[in-house]
Amino acid sequence: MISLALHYLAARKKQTLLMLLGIFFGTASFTTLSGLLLGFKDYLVNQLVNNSAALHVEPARDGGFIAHPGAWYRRLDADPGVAAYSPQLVSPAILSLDGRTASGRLVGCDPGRQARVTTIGDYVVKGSWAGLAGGTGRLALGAELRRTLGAELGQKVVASSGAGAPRAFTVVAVFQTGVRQGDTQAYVPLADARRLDRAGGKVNDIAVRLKDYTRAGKTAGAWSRLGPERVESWDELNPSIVNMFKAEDLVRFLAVGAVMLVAAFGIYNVLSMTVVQKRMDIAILRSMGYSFGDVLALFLWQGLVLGACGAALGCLAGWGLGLYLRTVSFGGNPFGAGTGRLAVSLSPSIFIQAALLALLATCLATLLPAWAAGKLNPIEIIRAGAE
Amino acid sequence: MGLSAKNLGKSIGDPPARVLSDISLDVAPGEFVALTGRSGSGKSTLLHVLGSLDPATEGEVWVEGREIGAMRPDELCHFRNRRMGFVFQFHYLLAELNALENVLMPARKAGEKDRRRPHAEALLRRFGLGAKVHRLPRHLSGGEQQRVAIARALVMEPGYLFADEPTGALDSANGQVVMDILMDCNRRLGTTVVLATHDPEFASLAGRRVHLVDGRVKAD
Repeated sequence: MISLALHYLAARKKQTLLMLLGIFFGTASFTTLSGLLLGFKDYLVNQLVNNSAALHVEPARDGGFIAHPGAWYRRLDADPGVAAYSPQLVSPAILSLDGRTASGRLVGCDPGRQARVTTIGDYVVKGSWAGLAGGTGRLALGAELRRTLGAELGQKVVASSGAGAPRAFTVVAVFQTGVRQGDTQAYVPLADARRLDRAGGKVNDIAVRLKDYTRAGKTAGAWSRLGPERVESWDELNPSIVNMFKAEDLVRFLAVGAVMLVAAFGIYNVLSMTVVQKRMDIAILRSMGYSFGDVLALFLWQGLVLGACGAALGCLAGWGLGLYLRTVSFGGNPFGAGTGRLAVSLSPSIFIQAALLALLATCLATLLPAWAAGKLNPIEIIRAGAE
Repeated sequence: MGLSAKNLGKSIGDPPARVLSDISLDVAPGEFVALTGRSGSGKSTLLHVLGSLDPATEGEVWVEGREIGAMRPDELCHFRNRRMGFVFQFHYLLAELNALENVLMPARKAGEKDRRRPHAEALLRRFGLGAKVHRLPRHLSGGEQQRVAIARALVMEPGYLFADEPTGALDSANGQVVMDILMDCNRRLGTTVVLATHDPEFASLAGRRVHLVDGRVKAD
C-alpha cells in the first residue's frame, strides 16, 4: 500500500507540503530549542561538576580535617566507579599585592591530580597549569582575584590564611571559569597550603571525579554510611540549579508539544478530508478484496511517510542551525564563558527524541482518519454514488 | 457448484425498509444472468448481496460450495480478490494511477502485479486501449474509463463477474461495446456474469433473465 500512499501524497502537493512543513518546523524547533537548553545545561554541569568535582568528601564538622584520609584513598583507588580524586586543603585567605588586597579561597592540591579531577586546566587564560607543578611557592590565580589585585604573571602575591605566617607565591597561571565563585579562588601546591595553614599532613576535602557523574547522588549516599565524613554530591550542593534543569526540561517539552500538537492537528484535518474525498477509492478497493487492514495501512503509510520525512528534514535543519549557533559570539557569560560562543548541544539523543516525537504525533494524528477509512462500508458509498 | 441464494432477505435503514424478500436463485457456472426490474426493485441490492459486498439480513449465499456469511473477513477478502470481479455504473478508477496501474490493482493485492502485467496489457489491447495504457483516467473518455474498469474486474480471471448497470452512464454506442465485452468474457472465458440492468435491450442479450418487482423474483 505504500506505493499507493505515495501516489496519494504526490497528487496533493500543496496539502502534503503543508503537512510536511508542520512536522518539519516542529522537529526543527525541538532540536534547536533542546540544543540550546541542553547546551546551557551541559555548560552549567561542566561548571559545577568538572570545575569542582562530582563528589566532595569533607570533615564531619566545619573547620576540621578528614580523620583517616589514607583509608579514603585506599577506598577510592579500589572503587571502579571513581575516575580520579584529589586531596585538598581549602581555606579562606587574604591575598595582597602592592597594597591591594583581595579575599578568596586558597586551594592546596596536587596540580596533576587536580587536573584529572576537574577541568580547571582548560580555563587557564595566561601562563600554564603545568607551571604550578614545577616547584613550591607557585600560585594559579582566579580572574576575579587577578583583576582586584592587578596581578600579572611572574609577580609575587602574598597569601595569608590567619593560621601561619603569610607566604609569597609567584603567579604562574591565571584562569577564568566564568563563575564568580570559581574565579575568586587561587590554587597552590598542597605542601605550600599545609605550611601556610600549619596543617601538617592533613586535608579537609577530597574532590572525586566519577566515571558517571549522574550516579553522584547515589554514590554520596552509600559513602556517607562508611564513616563520619560528610560526602556531598554536586547536585546536593546545587539543588536550585537541578530544579532549574527540571523546569527547563518541562518548558522544552511543553513548548515543543504545542508545536507538534498544531502539526498533528494539521495532519489530522487534511487526512480526514482525504478520507472523505477518497470514499469511492476506498469502496472500490474493498470490492477488489482489499481488507480493513489494507485501507488502514494506506492512510497510516501516508502519515508515516510524512512523519519520517518531516522528522528527517527537521533534524537536518536543527543540526545545521545548531552548528551555526555554535559559531555565534555571545560575549562571555553565562552561555559562552571560556569559548565566548553559544553553547549548543548536538547530542544524538536530542535528534532521536525529536524523530520519535514527530513519528508519534503523526501516527496518532493519522490513526483516527485511517481507522475511519478502514471502517467505511463500501456498499453504502457505492449506493450513495449511484444516487 | 455455481452461485446459489437461499431465501434471501434484506432490510436497510432505520427504521428498516424491506428491499429483498425470500429470494432463492441458482446460477450455474458459465451462465449469463440479467437481473432486471424498475428502479427500486432491488436488482442492485441483490447483485451486491450475491457478490458478498452487502450481507444478507436473512438467508444464505453459497458460492462454489462455500457459504459467504460463514467466511472470516480475511477469507472473504481473499475469495473476492481471486474469484470475483465487479463493474459498477461509474468506473471508480483511482485518479492518481494510470490505466494499466488501475487494472493491476487487484493483482497488487494478490502479490501478482508483475505476473499479471502481460495479461493486463493484453486485456487493455483487446478493449481497444493498447495505446492508452499509461494515460490517467481523466485523459480517457467515459467509454474508455468503463472499459478500463472492466479490464480491472477481469485481470484476476475471476469465476464471477458482477456488473451493476455498467452501461448506465454511457451512450448507446459505448454501452454496446461494454455489453459485447461482457458477452465475450462469458462465451470465451466461461466467466459467470450477473448483470443488473434496467435496459431491456441489453438484458435480452443475456442467456437468462430474472425479473424483480418490489424485491421479489417475479419471473425467471
